[in-house]
Amino acid sequence: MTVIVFIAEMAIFSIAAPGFLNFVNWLSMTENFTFLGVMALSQTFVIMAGGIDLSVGSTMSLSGVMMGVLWQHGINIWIAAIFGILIGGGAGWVNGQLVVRTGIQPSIITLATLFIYGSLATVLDGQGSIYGFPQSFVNVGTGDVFGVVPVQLIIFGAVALVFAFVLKRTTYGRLVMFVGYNEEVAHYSGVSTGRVKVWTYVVSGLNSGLAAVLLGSYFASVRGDMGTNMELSVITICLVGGVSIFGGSGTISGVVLGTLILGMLAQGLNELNMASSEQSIVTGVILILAVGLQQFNVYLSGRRKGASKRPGKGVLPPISDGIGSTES
Amino acid sequence: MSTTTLNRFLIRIGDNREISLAAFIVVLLAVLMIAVPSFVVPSNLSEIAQNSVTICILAMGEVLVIVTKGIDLSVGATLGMTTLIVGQLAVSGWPIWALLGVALLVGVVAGSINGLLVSLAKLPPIIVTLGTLSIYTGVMYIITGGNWVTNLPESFQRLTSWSLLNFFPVMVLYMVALLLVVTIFLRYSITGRHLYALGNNAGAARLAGINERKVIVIPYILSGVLAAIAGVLYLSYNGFSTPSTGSAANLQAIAAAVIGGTNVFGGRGSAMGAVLGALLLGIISESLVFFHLLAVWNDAAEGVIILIAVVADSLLSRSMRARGA
Repeated sequence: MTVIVFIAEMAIFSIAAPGFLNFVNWLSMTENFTFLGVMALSQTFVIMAGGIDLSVGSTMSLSGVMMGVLWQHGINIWIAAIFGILIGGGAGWVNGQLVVRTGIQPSIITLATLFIYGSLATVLDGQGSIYGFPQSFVNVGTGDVFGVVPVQLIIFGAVALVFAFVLKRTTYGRLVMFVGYNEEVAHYSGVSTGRVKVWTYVVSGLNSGLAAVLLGSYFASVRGDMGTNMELSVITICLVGGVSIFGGSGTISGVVLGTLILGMLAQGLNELNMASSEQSIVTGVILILAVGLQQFNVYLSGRRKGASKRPGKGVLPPISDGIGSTES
Repeated sequence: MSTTTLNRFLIRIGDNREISLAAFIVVLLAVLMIAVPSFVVPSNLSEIAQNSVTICILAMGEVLVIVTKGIDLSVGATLGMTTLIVGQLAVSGWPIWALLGVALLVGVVAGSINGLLVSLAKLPPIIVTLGTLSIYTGVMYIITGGNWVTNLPESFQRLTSWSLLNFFPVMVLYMVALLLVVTIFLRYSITGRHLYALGNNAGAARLAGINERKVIVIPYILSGVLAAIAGVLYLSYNGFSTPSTGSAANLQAIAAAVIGGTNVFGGRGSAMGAVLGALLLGIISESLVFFHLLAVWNDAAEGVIILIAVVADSLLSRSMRARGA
């Protein structure tokens, strides 16, 4: 289904904007959104485990700024980058702990940390932006292999492969699905649901840090607001890629496709001269449509089989409440 | 633990969020009066109160939604949208009654989109309102082409600039009027009580015959209408609006509602509490300025406050449940 959407989209844009469907062009365009894909991959795990992370954008800003500030103080850019990523992981860890220990909806927790981390990032980035990174670093974001395939795309592909492997072939990956599918049963089966969930947030934070590195090297600069409003795109990518907002299902290949679909959409709209504020309308509509389609599918299969598709949630399909709520 | 009358009295106050909030505000003002005497003067307090009115009203709307275990992230954008639409029409000379009508219409439409998506399509409120937030924000840019709305007619600005008996600023009076309406609705109307029921135990409420689908739409529409009204008041009071108006208000409204005792798990909350929460937030952020805290820390401070409020609330309700209250 997602593949069809992708092909249709490419077709539409090729007609509307001549020169769009140039494979080399296409490849280099991916540099504009692979960082979103990296964040979407980790967000997938968070959502599949039944939660949500609204703070990814702010975490990215914080990581990026930390990297920049450390570099400014003389630390080697690569070490600063690693540090930035670790900071992201730390921020994610805080999210995870708060979610698991208080039992409050992840949407509320990560909404609050969105503002806290974002504010921290702005404060740390006192002067507006940090730029002038060494060329070797900038090559990560802008370089090509064989002159054609962007380094960023390779990194994205590698991360995707790792995530796909973890999801399908490791115990942890299967636990993530299990916890999202039915947390209570998982808990009673002896799964340490708290630890599973905390790790999803930690990884989400780490990937936000990686995204900051990618974007920072692409633009050769970082700013305190570099991640603002990214969470909307990231979550939309996950949903378009088939990750169920209720947790327990989704595929990495779907998310990769989702990244391509939304990324190319943004590029195509740019070619058609649509402002980014107008593009946010499009993203919002797509978000609602994507989750609407998911809900519609649930409704359809419910009617066909005559049983609720979400076991453990009772006979009557409840009105959806905040994401991650464990009460029915 | 001994149950002297004093103890029982204190427990009753502690359990009642509104009273403990009001007490906290009084204590805070007392502390501030000692630390920064120039802060606790009538003119400053009156300004704080009037500036908080917008969040007070938005928070009231959030209470309605959060009580049903939902959330509305788009209130700030609805407010902003209303200010820009009404603003541009006001500048073109539309009469006040028509402007109010337009505002109500914007609020109803914005709220209905949220409400219908949540109730009919059964989409999660967090996703729906995240989506409408970006849609309305984008609309705000399109309406104005990125420009500010200024030069509002005198007659419009006069809506909010006078004081009753030269003492009560009319902004505060408008807010009190809305507070009364919302409180009566929540506590004494059938629909209001249904909202609490749905938030407390949706399954039981459904089995008791409450038509969930019809009822769930209402808090979102009301939230939208309240946001629109707040927008009109904001526009009249401040005299201008920008394409980014209201972007910070979303979190503030939720924070105020939660501080005011609205439980994010649904089933508990009051408009009065939300208003007190908004006032508290207003006092805190104003006083942060007095203590020379940079404006950029405001967001972080609010995020921390909402975390503290939500966590404390969850711990409190857990211990209350353990006590069997």
